[in-house]
Amino acid sequence: MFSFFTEHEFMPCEDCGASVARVEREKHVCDEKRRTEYQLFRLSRSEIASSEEELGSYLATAEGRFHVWYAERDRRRAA
Amino acid sequence: MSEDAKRISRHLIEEVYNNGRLDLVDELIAPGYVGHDPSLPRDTTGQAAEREIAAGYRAAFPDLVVTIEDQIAEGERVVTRWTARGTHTGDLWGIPGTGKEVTVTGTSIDRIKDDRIVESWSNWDALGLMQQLGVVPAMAQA
Repeated sequence: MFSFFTEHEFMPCEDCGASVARVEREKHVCDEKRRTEYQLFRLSRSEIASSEEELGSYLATAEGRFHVWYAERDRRRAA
Repeated sequence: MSEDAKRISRHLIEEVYNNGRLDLVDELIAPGYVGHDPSLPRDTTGQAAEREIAAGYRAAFPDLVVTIEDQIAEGERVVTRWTARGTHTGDLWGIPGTGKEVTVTGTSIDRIKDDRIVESWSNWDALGLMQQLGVVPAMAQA
């Protein structure tokens, strides 16, 4: 629907997320700290969402249920 | 009047939007305030609504900095051309944080009465913001 709009004058760099003007795009160099933070931000969002799902699925399996029981047993022994 | 009016509009941008001084909204915005912004679903009416708008943008872009590029005043009206820059780490209109830094320009006209803003008209590049956040696809440059 909106595909006829040309790219904006400023677009975030795909590697570091910094807002880069069209005229500066070719000479843009990512700041390492910013790139790391950006990658971590993007990673953590998708990984947290998927790991919660995976953990829930795992804990529902026989092996997962056993590990929950085993961890609970250790916790009670330590108490 | 014109210089005082400029100061009030500038104060709203620099203190409330840039520094997060939401407590100053009541000092700068009149109780019967109406804000017109075609990118929002409805007019912003009253101090609490303006505070909510500012808080929403600051939650979405915690490092938000609005730079005043130009300011012209005549009588009770102030025209401000601005550029906003910030990193989208919080929810904006249902769009979860992307970590992307965006640059958006706009122009606002404030009408000042008794040292407070009573009405505003803003037009800003909401489409550009959506493009930068990756919500609206853009045609590749020729």
